[in-house]
Amino acid sequence: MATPLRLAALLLVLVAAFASAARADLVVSRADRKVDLTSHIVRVLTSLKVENAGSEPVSKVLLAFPNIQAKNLAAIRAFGTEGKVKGLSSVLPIEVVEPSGVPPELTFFSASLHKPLQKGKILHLDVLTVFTHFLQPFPEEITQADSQLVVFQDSSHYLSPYPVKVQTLSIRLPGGRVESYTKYGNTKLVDSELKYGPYEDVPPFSYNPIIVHFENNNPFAVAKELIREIEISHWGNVQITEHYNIVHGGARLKGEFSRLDYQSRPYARGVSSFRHLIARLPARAHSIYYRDEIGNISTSHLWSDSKKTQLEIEPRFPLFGGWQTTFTIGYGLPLQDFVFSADGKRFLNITFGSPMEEILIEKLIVKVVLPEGSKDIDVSAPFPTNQWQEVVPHWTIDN
Amino acid sequence: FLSKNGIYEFWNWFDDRTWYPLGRVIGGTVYPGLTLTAGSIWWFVNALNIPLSVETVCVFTAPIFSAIASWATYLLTKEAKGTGAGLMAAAILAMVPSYISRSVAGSYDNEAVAIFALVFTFYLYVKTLNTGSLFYATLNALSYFYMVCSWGGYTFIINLIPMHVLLCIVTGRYSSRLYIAYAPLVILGTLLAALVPVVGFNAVLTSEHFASFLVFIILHVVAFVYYIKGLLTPRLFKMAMTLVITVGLAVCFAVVAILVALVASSPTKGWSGRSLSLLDPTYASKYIPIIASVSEHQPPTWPSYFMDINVLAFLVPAGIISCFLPLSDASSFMVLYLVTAVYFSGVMVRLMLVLAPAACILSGIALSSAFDVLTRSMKFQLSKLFDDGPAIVRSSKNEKTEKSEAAPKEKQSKKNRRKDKEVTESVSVKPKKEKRLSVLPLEASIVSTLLLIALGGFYVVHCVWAAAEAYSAPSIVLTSRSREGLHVFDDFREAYAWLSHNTDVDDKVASWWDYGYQTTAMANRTVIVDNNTWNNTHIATVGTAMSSPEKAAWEIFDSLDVKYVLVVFGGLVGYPSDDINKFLWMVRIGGGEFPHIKEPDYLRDGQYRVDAQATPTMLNCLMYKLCYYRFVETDGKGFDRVRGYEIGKKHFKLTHFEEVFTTHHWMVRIYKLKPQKNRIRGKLKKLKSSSKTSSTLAAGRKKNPWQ
Repeated sequence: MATPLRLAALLLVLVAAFASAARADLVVSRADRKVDLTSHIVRVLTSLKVENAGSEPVSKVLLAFPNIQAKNLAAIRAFGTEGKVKGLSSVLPIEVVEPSGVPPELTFFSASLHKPLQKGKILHLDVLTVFTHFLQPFPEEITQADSQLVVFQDSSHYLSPYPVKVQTLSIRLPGGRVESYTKYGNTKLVDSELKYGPYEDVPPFSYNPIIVHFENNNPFAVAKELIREIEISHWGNVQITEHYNIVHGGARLKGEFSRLDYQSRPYARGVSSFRHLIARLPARAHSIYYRDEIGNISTSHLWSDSKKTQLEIEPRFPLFGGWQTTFTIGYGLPLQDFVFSADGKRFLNITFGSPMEEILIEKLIVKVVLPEGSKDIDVSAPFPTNQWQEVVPHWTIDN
Repeated sequence: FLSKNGIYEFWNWFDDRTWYPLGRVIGGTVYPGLTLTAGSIWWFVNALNIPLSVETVCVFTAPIFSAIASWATYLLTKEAKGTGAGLMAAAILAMVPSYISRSVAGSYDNEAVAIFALVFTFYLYVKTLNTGSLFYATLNALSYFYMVCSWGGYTFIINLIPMHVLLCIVTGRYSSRLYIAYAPLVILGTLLAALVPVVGFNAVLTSEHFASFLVFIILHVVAFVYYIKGLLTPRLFKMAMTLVITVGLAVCFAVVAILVALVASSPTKGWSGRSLSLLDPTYASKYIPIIASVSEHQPPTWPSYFMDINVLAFLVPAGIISCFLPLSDASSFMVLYLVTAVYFSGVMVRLMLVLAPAACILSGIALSSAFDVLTRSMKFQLSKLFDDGPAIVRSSKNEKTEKSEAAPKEKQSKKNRRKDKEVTESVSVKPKKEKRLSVLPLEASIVSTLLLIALGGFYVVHCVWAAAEAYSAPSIVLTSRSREGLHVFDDFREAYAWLSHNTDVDDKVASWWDYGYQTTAMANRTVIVDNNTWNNTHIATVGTAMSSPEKAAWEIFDSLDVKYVLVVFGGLVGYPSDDINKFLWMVRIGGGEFPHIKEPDYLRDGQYRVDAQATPTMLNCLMYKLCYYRFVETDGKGFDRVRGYEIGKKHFKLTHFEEVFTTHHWMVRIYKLKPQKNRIRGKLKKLKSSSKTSSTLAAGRKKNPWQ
């Protein structure tokens, strides 16, 4: 915990040095950050009101993150609308940039505007960022009876290369006990919502560390590896097989595991564990199975309606911190829902991600098995991927 | 594994995941027939471009072979009694519950393949006996070789066939065909058997095989006698006969003397423990508790007979009678097979499997001849009724005369005999009986036919029921029916999955040997002992540890580098085959090697119990503690549902072990050995506190065989 603090202090020093180098043309007139800490995946929605105070039209807005956050950044998405009122927003392309004369402890993302922001105009920019592995369990080892406490660190000020006029920060907590939080100026804890601000006229690169130490017993389900196999059969079926290797990524269990305690007082003893996961499968999923390498796992439930199919699976044993397990789920989907044909070619349009709710996937491998004789294979993905092709043995009976 | 590395590596495959720290030479201790078979099927299937995994092939090996076994049964019965009986026998075998238990998909067991090999060997033997062809004799030896590869039960063949040969000689049924059938089998078979690593020189050294050699010699003597009988005049023959017999007897005595000397010199008298327990049912319980501890080695109960062979039990005597009616070499062999199989199955429930084909064959014979008789008499009566009887009567009379001509020819030359057989096979049995039984009134025969069909129907129903209820349910997943419906107890896999994912790859797991294979296969962890019970001492060590007090047990396990101890406990849900019920065997086996474990210490007035009246030794042993640790807190009383009473010692703490995982229904509990430093601290404290404790400590250590 000491390292980020020191880093933050260092940042402050550096910030002072580089403040002059900041792009003075833009001013953030209002920044509202909403941080959602209810699960183990941290979602931050930052609403910025950006004003062009300079004389030149600006076509790029820079977003800064400390490296320590940037390495845990899982997704970033920016939506922008120009004008006084919020209208239809459009997704802005985002890329990593390294502007000159900035501290190396920061990582910059640049959102390119569809058309340059003219002098005096206002841009509404919503930035959604998702962080993983951001909540550190503290203490790192707990017994079965303890609930899990985690630490969240951020800055009460919005870290920006631009001066910020008015800003607020609100943190939604899962609602358990709050061990401690940094009190700083305007700080309120109402129910399970922690509010900082509003702060006014904060210079660029202002970083003011805060620490929230609170109880979070939500499942810290981490898939260390997920292999999805999408097999297209021209008999009218898309078969999806997903191999999970799940670990409880929260505080590690120390000492004994007592089934007695777990069974007689499940909420008091073993509150930090989780015992089921929910998968939302497409509506017309069929032939669903759930197994692991030693056979079928009988503890699963399935609901389906016209919109979705919901599968609740229970691993063979409840997962405590540090425990892991593997399993495989598989299901078939009707071909016509996912494969379209146009210009004599066929397109498969299917999601990359896992149907599991609130799960973090560290390594995802998607394999698409095409029917024999497929050629001119072309893949388009919304983000950079490693791709390779391999020839699998021919299946005599199937396909 | 086999498919990956090929056969030679297989011989040398040394499995260090089991029997830690000894390891186990897989190639040398396993009967390779099954793996070889599955491996070759896999190669074949993959060569056809059907991508099946090795596991899939293994799962389907048993059903495939049971189908082939059914076919072999047909052939065997056909040789003995004709096509109808053969079909009937095959149909019965296809359904017999006792065989289904071994042949359901997934029971990847030696027996599945072995029964086919057994029946097929017998078929080839009978076939050779009937034809006298050297070709079949060679095939017979090969089939015997396959049997040796597959199952330890091959000794059954190598003893049964000599018995039959002897029987034939004694009853004066010697022929050159017998010689041809037997001699190649012994020579080739023994040579081939010696090729199998697990048998090796046992093929000539152990007592199980002596019978065959002895009979081999006798056969030669008899053959010689018959040979010179053909050469010499009766007077000379008598002289030569006495000469030959004296020489033969002398040779026999010499051999027997050598045998006796050999046998006496070896401690187990040359017999392997399992065969000894077969001959003397009380042997195992006296000397080798480990063999007796397996439920499959116990003598079966009557319900299990009924369960496994059902109506066949009643049909078999009828089958024997119909075998005797025209007694041929083949049918006498059937009878002999049945009688020995009945005996063996009576000693060891597992050998019910050997009985199953025999019972099927004989019931098949019985049923088919009964049907023959009944339908014949029905036809006869009907034809009488409709006044076109004469033709049939005449034809049957013709057959009858043919048959009576055939009877004296029985012992004539081979070719004649075969011709006769063709006739005999199709009709000869029937008219003969018909003549005798055709007085049966029409109504009676119709009714009895219906009754027989109903009997068959019941048999089918029973078999389907048995297959569905008793043998298809996997033993690892238990189910119970409750009001809400089916309740599944998946505790074993829960525990194995936990072990496999949450312990270190190199951790050693100790459990009673019943769970050894499962732990290796499902949890992929090194076990101390497993189901291949080749090392009695090692098992005894684990048994000793389980029946020792906590500290001594900790020391034993620590010396074996064990990290986790797994016990199976059924007291919460009422699962009867748990470790507490097996515990007495652990004590016996442990006590067999380490005399400080005494069975009476664990019994109160000769009764085994774990309630308040149990002995302190029992209540302090590791097994008791691991099973009942914190059990009392579940219901406040500690009521054991398997034993049906409250446990003896309710509140206690574990000092050298800690609970790391217990499954949902408490059926599997896994404990971890606490690390060394805690123990030393405790020890030092105790040493300081009293010198008395230290002396008991020292005593405890002296007792520990591993230090």
